Amino acid sequence: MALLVRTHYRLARAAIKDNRTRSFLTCLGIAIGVASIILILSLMGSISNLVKEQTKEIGADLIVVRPSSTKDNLTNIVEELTSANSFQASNLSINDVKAIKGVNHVSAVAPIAISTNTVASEKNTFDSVPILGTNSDYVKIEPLALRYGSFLTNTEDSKSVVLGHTLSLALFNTINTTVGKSITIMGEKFMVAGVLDEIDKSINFDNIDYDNALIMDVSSLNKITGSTQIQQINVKAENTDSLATISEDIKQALENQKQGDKNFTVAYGDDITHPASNLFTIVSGMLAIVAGISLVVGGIGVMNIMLVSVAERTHEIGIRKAVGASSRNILIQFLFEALILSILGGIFGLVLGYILAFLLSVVTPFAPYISWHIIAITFLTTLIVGIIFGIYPALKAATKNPIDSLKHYR
Amino acid sequence: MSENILIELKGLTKRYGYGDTESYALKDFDLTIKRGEFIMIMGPSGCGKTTLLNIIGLLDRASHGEYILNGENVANISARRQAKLRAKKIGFVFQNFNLIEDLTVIDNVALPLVYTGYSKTAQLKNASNALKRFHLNEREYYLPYQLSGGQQQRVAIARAIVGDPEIILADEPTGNLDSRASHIVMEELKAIHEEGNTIIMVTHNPALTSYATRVINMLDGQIDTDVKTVADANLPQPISVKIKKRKKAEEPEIITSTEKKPETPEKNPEEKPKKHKKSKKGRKK
Repeated sequence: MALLVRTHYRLARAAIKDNRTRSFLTCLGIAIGVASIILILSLMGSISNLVKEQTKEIGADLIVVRPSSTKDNLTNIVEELTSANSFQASNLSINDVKAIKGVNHVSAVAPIAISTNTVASEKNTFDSVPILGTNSDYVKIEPLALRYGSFLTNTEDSKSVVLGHTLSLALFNTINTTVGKSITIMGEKFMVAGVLDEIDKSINFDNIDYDNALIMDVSSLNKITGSTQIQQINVKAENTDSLATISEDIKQALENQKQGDKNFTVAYGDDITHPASNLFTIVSGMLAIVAGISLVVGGIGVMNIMLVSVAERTHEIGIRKAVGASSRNILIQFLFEALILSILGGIFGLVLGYILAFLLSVVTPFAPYISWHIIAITFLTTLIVGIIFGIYPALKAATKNPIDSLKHYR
Repeated sequence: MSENILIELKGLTKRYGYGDTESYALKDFDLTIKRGEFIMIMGPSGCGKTTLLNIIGLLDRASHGEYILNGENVANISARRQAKLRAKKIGFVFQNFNLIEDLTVIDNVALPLVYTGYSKTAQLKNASNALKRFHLNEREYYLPYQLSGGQQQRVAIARAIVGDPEIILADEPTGNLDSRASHIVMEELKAIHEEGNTIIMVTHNPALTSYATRVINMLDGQIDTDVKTVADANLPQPISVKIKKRKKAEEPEIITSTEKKPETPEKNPEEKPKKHKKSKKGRKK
């Protein structure tokens, strides 16, 4: 049997070699499909890796309170995708922050309220600057490093703000003399208390681009904008052992505070990244389906070329049968040919996909993500594509009548 | 002598079409073929010669009737078993040679061995030996189109005998050849026959009947005349396959084979051991 397999392999290889251009183009069809799947899987892997690393950096003692809507998951995600602000209408308030502060074993509580506004310095004015409203606890929770100056002070109604690295450069064309200068938001004057170090991580579970953001006290933000919605409350626990009980306590405190309104979620550990990974999974799933369609097109290419090959080689099939090849021999011979074509295409696509992923990593922060899962998935899909699209031409070849085939000429 | 019967056809019928379009290529055809016969089948076009050959060659099936090959009724065996028997027991020679254009001469000759489980080395060794016999060993790596018609047909005959088949079926092997090439091909077939092989050949050329030991004239799917030119007792006898497989002791082989043979017609016994050696070489399991 092994010998026969080797023989079939040799025959198939010879047939592919004889029709080099044709085989190459067929492989290319498969390769493009595989490459797009690889690219998407690699992107997906690297994005979820980035997010996971972020939560790891923040630490295992983080608890996150988010508003939750009564809508189902999919509508939620569609809303997230379509709305300008990626957060949804929130029912969290500054009072909730205070309520959480009262819970035992909580060391720091910081709200996250994001809005955008026009920010002006004496030199430049910028529209739509993301403004993060929070409090002095924020720096205890987030690993934010200050380049110059200090973070927000503990007093409410403070008039100081912290600028992101890029924003500081944009507003004052410098970062080292920014501290102490003043900026104007909605007619109100604020003093720059500090400048953040460059972070260069636009993907994080808070959904904040720190380099371009302005950080100020949440109550000051509330004052200038009139209504501020808190989209998330980050809570740091005193220790990592009793996160479950602490989050239960937080839940209880919030329910009391909100008089039974349960439209919020308290998450810790891996659950924090869930909304993000849910979204990624759905988006990349959709993309993978689209890529899968191109793989199907590639598979049809294989089938087409195999049908041509079978038709061209009818006479050969007749001869092979006359000298003793069984239908199964012929079937395996042509199936092998299709499999080799699609697996070659798969290998080709794997390389192509990673070249594309690498090129993408040059311009984006998404490093190519290589894992044996991806390679196994590629191999399996090409194998399955090869079998599905190879079996029909192979059956057609195998069931040919030897007498009629012998009369057939090219 | 009954053990010498290779093929028995009983009431073989091949029908094409149904109802109004019904026609018979073979009708209640009875034929017994003994080992070592060289049968020429003649007759007008459409009398069922090729159909008969295809059925004997297990490429086709009769509508009904019995076909006993080597004592086994093979009329209703599975397609897979048919293929297996084709690979091991039957060698085909066609009018239009039917070599695979993309394969070299030696690969073409080795083709039947691919399906009978020979190693690649054994395949090439046996194919090379078969080609040597037809003085084509210098053309092993030519492609078929680079050879003349006569050479191509000799390659096809080499392919037919490479697996040591029991029957060689030839469908107008000289039909596409000029008289010189025809003569060479017929001499080769004659030599193969003299080694004890059974040959069934379809031809239109009455001049070739001198090579045969039995001439059958067919008409409308039935035997018209059946003439034996050589007595059964004088037929060349093949060497028993079992003895062939034995590795050692060449002398007993000759003794056994001559014992089996009632008579050795105009044939020097030294030729046979030569054939033993050849077929023994390279057969691997």
